[in-house]
Amino acid sequence: MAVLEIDDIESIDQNLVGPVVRAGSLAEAIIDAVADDNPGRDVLVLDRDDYVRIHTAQTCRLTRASLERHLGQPVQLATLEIDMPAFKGRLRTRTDEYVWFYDK
Amino acid sequence: MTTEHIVASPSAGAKPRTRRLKTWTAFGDLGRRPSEYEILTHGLNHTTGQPALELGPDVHGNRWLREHRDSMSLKVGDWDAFRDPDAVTYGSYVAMQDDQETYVEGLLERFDREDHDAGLPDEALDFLALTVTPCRYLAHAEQMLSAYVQQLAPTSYVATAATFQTADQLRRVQLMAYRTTQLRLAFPQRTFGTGERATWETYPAWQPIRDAVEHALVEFDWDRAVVATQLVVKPVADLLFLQQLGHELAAAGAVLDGLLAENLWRDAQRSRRWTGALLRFLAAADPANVGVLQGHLREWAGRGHAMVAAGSGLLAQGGGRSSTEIATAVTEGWRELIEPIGLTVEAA
Repeated sequence: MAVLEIDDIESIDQNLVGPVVRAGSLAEAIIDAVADDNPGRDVLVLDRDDYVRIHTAQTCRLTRASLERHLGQPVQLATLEIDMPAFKGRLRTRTDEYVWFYDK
Repeated sequence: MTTEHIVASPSAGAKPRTRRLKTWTAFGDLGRRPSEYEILTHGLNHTTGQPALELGPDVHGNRWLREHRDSMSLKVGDWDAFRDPDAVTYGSYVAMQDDQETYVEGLLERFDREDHDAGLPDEALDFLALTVTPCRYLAHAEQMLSAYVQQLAPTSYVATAATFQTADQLRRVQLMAYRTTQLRLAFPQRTFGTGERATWETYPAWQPIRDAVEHALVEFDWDRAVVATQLVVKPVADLLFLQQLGHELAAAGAVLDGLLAENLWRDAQRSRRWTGALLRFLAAADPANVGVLQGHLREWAGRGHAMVAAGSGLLAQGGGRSSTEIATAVTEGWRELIEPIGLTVEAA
């Protein structure tokens, strides 16, 4: 599975879910962590320079352990919300894991 | 496991993502993106070539580095693997200390407005002249010692941490000088500003401290300089003349100086954090390094204990806790720094 760059989200008829994050080193670390935490799924990235959409189909998992590994420092998932102005799907939050999921 | 290939329409333009920012190849395979701290700190030491300085191999600077840095007994495969736990960069240091200086300036202005110094009793003034204002000399010596640790550091990760430690000392010297001038203006009949040198050079209880500082200044081998400065002189002096003195000043009624010492102790704690990390790093790099450090420490521990005994006696003159209580607290703080990697402060 790969990290794919897209330039249009509307034309993808999958139920995409995942965070929208301010561009920068945190966003890059989240992309890598999501790729690790969602084996078997493509990670779609829509980069709008100022913010980045990071989505997978149906379910998107992000663990604290993966994020810390890619960021190179300890991090609380709750602090993400400062850099996450929006997300797509529904979000379930746990101390060590955030999961975005599709629910009709 | 089910796989979820995204079926993107051609207009979605899905293609493998390429990073806009690349990592530096100098970092090797970090397995992650280097942090801002790493990018700003990595590989800045310009004296690690052969020869160290781009000059003749026998110029004084190159001989100095060969003899005092490259010949030391500490063995480390990759010096650039060390990290300051606080990850301080120039930008973060300036921002952090700007906040601290704003706080300190606020204290000085508030106490000045309330004419704090005029209300100090004679005993408090005697105690300030004995323990606080002579610290201008001590802090300046710590500044020179820190600068030497920086100058010969084998990696810019250590050099950078030592540079900020040097800057901390400059901040302390400046603050001490400012306070000394305030006291001189409030009490022109006393010897604030003119009497400290005699106290530093001749007052009996200051002499073991001056002795340790001056011997540390002539430790030229880098590993010995690290032991003398980072493991003995600076931690013991800071425990005495920032942490413990802060408590005693508050008890003696010199509230402002107690608060200033408490603020400067924050800088000392940051120094202790990277020093502790450096010890763990050296022990992990080669267990034999612990023996090297202990060998130097065995020679230096006696001077450290003499500093504790003399300094706690000085601080006890404030009329607060006994010298035994102060010495116990200082020795405990000293041990907390060096014992985690199995070093001991027992003297030879």
